[in-house]
Amino acid sequence: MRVRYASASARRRGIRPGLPLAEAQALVHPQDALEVQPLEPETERKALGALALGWAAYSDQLGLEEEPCPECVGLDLAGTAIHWGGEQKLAEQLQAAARRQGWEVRVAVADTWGQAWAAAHFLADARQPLIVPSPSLVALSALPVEGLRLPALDLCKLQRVGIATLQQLLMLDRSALASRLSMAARMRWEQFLGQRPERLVPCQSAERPRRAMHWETPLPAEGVLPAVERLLEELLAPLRTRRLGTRRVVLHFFLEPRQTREVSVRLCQQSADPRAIAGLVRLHLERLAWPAGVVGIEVEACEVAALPWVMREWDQTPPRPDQQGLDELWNQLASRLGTSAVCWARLVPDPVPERAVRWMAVVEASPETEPTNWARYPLALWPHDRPTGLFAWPRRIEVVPGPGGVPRAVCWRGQRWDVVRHRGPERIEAEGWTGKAVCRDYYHVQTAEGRWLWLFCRPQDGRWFWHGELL
Amino acid sequence: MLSDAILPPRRAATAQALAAQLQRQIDHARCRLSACRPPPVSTGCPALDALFPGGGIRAGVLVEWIGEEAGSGAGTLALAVGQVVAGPDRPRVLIDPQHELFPLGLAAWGVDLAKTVFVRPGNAQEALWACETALRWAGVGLVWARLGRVGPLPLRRLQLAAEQSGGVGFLVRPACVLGEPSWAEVRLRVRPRLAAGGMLKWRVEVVCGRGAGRLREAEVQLAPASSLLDEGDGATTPTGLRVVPGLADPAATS
Repeated sequence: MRVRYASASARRRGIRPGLPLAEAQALVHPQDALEVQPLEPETERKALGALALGWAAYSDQLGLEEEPCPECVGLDLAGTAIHWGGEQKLAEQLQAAARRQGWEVRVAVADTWGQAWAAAHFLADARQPLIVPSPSLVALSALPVEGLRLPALDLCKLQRVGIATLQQLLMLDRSALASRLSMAARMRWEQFLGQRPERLVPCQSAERPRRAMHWETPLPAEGVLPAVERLLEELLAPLRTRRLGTRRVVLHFFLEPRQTREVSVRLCQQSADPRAIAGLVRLHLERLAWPAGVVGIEVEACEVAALPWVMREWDQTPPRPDQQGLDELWNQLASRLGTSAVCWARLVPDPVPERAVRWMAVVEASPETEPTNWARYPLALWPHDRPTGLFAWPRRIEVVPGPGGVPRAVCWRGQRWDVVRHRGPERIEAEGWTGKAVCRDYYHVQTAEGRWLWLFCRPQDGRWFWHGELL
Repeated sequence: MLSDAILPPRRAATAQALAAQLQRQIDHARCRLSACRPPPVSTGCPALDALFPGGGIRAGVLVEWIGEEAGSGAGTLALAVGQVVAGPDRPRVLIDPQHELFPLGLAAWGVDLAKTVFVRPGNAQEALWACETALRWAGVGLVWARLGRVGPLPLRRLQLAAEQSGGVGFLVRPACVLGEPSWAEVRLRVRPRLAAGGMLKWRVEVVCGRGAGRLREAEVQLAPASSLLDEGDGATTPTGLRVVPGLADPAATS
């Protein structure tokens, strides 16, 4: 175990992030009463989100860095600093506001988010905010390359060739550098220079506002949706004024003989639009049976967070067409068909076909699940001869074997298909520790009618199965 | 239909004049419509383009791909064509009520999974609803759906949805629907053929369509593990060279 963060008093004893815990314990005095807390990324994220929301008065565009364990809050100060007496005074106020809440923060202001990140980590201190003069690239050129947020492997490569500072990196030929570093490193470099957009994750609030209405006489069925719309408007109006939205709305319907029905509406991203959410509720209500009249409705906004945005200054590219309102389509489809019915497919490097795909619900999107952030394996590394259709369960078939055990004819539900061409066998084997043990010999076969099938034979019992086909 | 045999001569002449006038109005409306429509998009295969009126797939239409039986590859051919028609940036929606689409196989056939959303409804009715909803969205590049028997009214709704948004819908359907009416721009019957060298080959025949293409049927072939469509007219000799789209991307080679 290693130290991730250390308080000011711990640092005075020489404890630094990265130090093994045993060594850190050896450095403290018995009277210090050292307190060691395990790292809890989710708690940290929530606390950081709460801190960021406390700064919402200074900028309406703020969020957490897009990392699994974020430790930075980003604010866009363009156009707002002038109202607070300039960047220096605004940064001082930010630092003071955090200090009042018991936080020790380092504040840096720079031209791009990447440069501000580097300045906050390697130049700023907790006593005084740092304003990097523009163009900040010149002022930051002496910083170590770690300030670029590069992957560990790329840092190793640079260290091996003696490149330690940004100045050294800037002197190198860009195209030569691009061919030697990974795609993630190139992205970080471009983000540092402000040539690539940077996404900040909206911060989540712990609050779960709710509104309720009750009636003495049951509502008619056609009166339920207007009542929901009214409640949603009341619920979301205060959030909208603070530029907050919700990603999940839970509705409780109270029926007359002490029964309840619950509807949960999940959204692709934060929204504060009552009409759009009411439209999704309608899709749920269409499938809901009402055994009795509705006498009360309660709506609750969960996962309240700042409305999403992309930093405009650093995103010169026009928005992609698939980002323009398509979230509403995914929300509609998921509301009617279920969240798991609308999904992305992510390939998993597993040889067993049924385990080679991970389905990820589109409305559950997070930085880790978004397709643009997936690790990209070169297509050449994946098998190229898989069928486009795979059955959920392999179908048991009878096969007339030819010389060498290769299929000559396939029999399925009383039909016989002669095989005119085959390719295989391809042995796919996986041991038990990766899931269910599998050993199969796969064949691609083409029948006399021209259809393409994907069959396998289990060597342990000689049984044949039909597992896929060209759809 | 007005018949001269059952109408007195004067009324027949009036009816003929009326029919001619109507025909002129229809032609005029058609000309105006085709003038404001965007040009058809090529499928990348001239033989296949020749099956469509206008020499390609127009925005705002449905195309039916009728596969004879399981394993015919009609859906795969439709997907390969759809990749070209949808364009590089717009998302594709694949509606698969049977839950049989295998993304690993699709990726090898050139389908960009980062731009593909899979919709897996529980039944045919929900699949139809999902298809109509997706077709109504202008930002969607392609809606590909596996549908069974569907009445003419829901099909007409799909066609209107596509027309309204300017989207393209590819409906992959079984051979049993061949006798049923269609609202698609073109209904294509896809039959697999035996081909040498591991190529996938189909005979694609126009069963019915709104307007005539240059050809009524064509043979196309697809190189395995690529999205390269080719004319399978017998003159093409498969070289065994596999075009892997990922290798053409410099980022993928690092």
